[in-house]
Amino acid sequence: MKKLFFISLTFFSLFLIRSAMAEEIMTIEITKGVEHAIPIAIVPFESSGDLPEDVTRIITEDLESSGYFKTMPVTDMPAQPHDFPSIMFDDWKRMGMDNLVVGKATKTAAGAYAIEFRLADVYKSSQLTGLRVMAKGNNLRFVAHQIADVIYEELIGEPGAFATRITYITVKKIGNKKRYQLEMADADGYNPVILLESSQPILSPVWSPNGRQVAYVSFEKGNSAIYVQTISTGHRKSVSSGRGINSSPAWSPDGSKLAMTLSKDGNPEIYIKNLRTNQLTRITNNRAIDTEACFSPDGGTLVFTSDRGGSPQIYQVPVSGGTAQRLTFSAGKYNAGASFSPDGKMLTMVHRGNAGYQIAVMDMGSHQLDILTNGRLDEAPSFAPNGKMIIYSTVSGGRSELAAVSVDGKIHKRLAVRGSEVREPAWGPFIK
Amino acid sequence: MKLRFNGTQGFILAVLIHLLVIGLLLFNYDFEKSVKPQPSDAEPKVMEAVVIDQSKIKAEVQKLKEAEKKKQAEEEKRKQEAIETEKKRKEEEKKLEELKQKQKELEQKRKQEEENLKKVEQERVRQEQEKQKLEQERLLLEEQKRKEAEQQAKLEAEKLKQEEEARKKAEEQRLKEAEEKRLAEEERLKKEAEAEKKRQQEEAQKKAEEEKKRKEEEARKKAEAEEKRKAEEAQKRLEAEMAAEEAARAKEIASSFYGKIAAQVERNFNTSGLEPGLQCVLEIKMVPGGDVVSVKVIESSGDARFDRQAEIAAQKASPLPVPDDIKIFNQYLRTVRFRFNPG
Repeated sequence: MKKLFFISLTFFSLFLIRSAMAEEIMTIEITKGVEHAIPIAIVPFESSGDLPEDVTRIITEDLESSGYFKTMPVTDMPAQPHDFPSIMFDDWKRMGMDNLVVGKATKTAAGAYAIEFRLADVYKSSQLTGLRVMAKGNNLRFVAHQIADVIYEELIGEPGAFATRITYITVKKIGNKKRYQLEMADADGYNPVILLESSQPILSPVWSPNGRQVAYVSFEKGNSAIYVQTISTGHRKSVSSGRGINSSPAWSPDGSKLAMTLSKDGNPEIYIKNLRTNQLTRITNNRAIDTEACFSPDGGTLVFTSDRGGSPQIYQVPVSGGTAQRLTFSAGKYNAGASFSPDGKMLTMVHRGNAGYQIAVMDMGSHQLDILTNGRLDEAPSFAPNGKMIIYSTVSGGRSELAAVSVDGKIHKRLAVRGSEVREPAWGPFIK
Repeated sequence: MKLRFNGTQGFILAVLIHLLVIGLLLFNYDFEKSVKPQPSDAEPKVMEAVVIDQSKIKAEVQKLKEAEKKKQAEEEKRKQEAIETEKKRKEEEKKLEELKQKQKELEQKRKQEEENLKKVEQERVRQEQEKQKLEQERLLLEEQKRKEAEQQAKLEAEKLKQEEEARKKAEEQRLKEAEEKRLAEEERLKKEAEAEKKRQQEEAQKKAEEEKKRKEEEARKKAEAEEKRKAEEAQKRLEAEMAAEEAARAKEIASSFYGKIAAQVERNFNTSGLEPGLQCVLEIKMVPGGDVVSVKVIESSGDARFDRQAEIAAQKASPLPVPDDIKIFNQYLRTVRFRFNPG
């Protein structure tokens, strides 16, 4: 027995030595990659009965528009499975396809639709995620956006912002009169609804943090006044209509206060108004113009635009008041209309370079400024709630319209919003 | 107890003794045990008495009557005893007579025996004389026998002497022969010992020769083995050197493929949307020709998306460039690891 053990031990050692000789496992360093859009094939969903919306197309456009995905044209697809068991993974692997979405929409007896989908990992032949969602006909677009968000979050690791909304101002010319409208639409510009209509200018709409209200400036009474309107009811309330300028409202992160620009004391200054107590606190006191305030996400500071240095630049001041610090230093140039990214690490602003006014982002840590757009007159930048995209207005062909750019400047897209003039977009929060 | 005798009392006593003896004889009574002391006065005494009253008198009378009765009984008894004594005495006399008679007979018998003895003595003397006569005769006879025996003994001795001489002679002969035999034996043994010694010497010599031969052979063999071993070692060294060279060459070839493999994986590693600063290690297995047949995360980045993109890169890069030499492939490329560290 002992002998046998010894023999096997010897054999084992020999084997070890042999295999060590036979197989030397080398580690190869992979020190870089490529920045490709993620390949994804969204197989047209099977549908029983006519779907009022093309769900597959909405999802495909959402993902494509994010810049992170390269969707496979339907004509290139080796097959069109609708459920997980019928996927032939090897076929998709051969096409170099990483991800596959299959699904179907079934009309229910109540006239609603049950939409079922699965996201599969082609190389592992496994499911990454799968959901079944109920939707009514008029809600199908939004449900499609929600599905796009699920896929986006699964593959990118951060929430998508497809199923969110935007507000903006449209101006229509009817004869020699102008028609001003405050509108709300899906983030892709579809399904617009009018929140307010006026013959007088409407400016600077901003979403309350909970997404239920919008604050804006209206000249409907001849002078500027700040209103807060509840979206679902249309009920609105004037919160500031004093003498002189009442402009640039900005919500505090908890929604209890509004920062605003008032010239009631002679010169435009930044004030904070407590919406519950109506208490007004003056934040700036300078002979120059101080305007376009924005709360930091932690609620502790405000950034604003001031020309106290000779040209409009961005400054930062504590909400408790005190000395303002200048953040931008492009001497002789122009930086204005700043707002914070959701994580507070970045500012987006309008920067005037040699070619005109463009959208820029500044890193709050390094103060490095990156210009993202190349229009002549790009204005009113606003971060998506996931911080990945910035919506803004741009002038193209003599007309103002909406566009979006990714924070790295790589992805650009135009929003399909009807109207001769579309401006001052504001991206709403996540809908909970 | 001593009895005192006088006139009538003696007589009465004699009567009583006779009666007693008779009684004893009649009733076979034990005489010795019946003897009792007797008062010396046998006559009843008349007492001088005064009557006090009638009842007392009656009692007294009664008492007297009873005393009288008792006296009579005793008298009777004494008479009986006297009879018996007399009887005994007669018997004694008779016994004496018988004894006298017996003595007389004994005397007579003694005289008879004396006579007998005298006769026996006479016989004895006569026999003694006879005996002496017989003794003389016997002595004479014995003398004669002795002389004869002596003669015989003399003859015997002569014979023995002759026999002894013969025996001695024979013994001497035997001893002589034995001595001769012993000497012969000694001679033989000596010869044998010498032969043995010689044999041993020869054997020892032979052995020594053989040992010498064996040692020489051994030394020769050892030398040969040593030479062979050295040759083998040299061969081995050479082989090892060649193997090392071969291995180095193989490794060099393999290494040239590692770079190509890395480039191909990198072209397929999509870092789009990945957090910077992550890294993970995969172990992949290939088959000859470079087809990737298995991908395993052996050190995760902690970010599932990063790991997944690395896995996809390894799969998409398949088939990887590998050398045609199967030995090099087996040793260095069948299993490799990728450390994804895009920075």
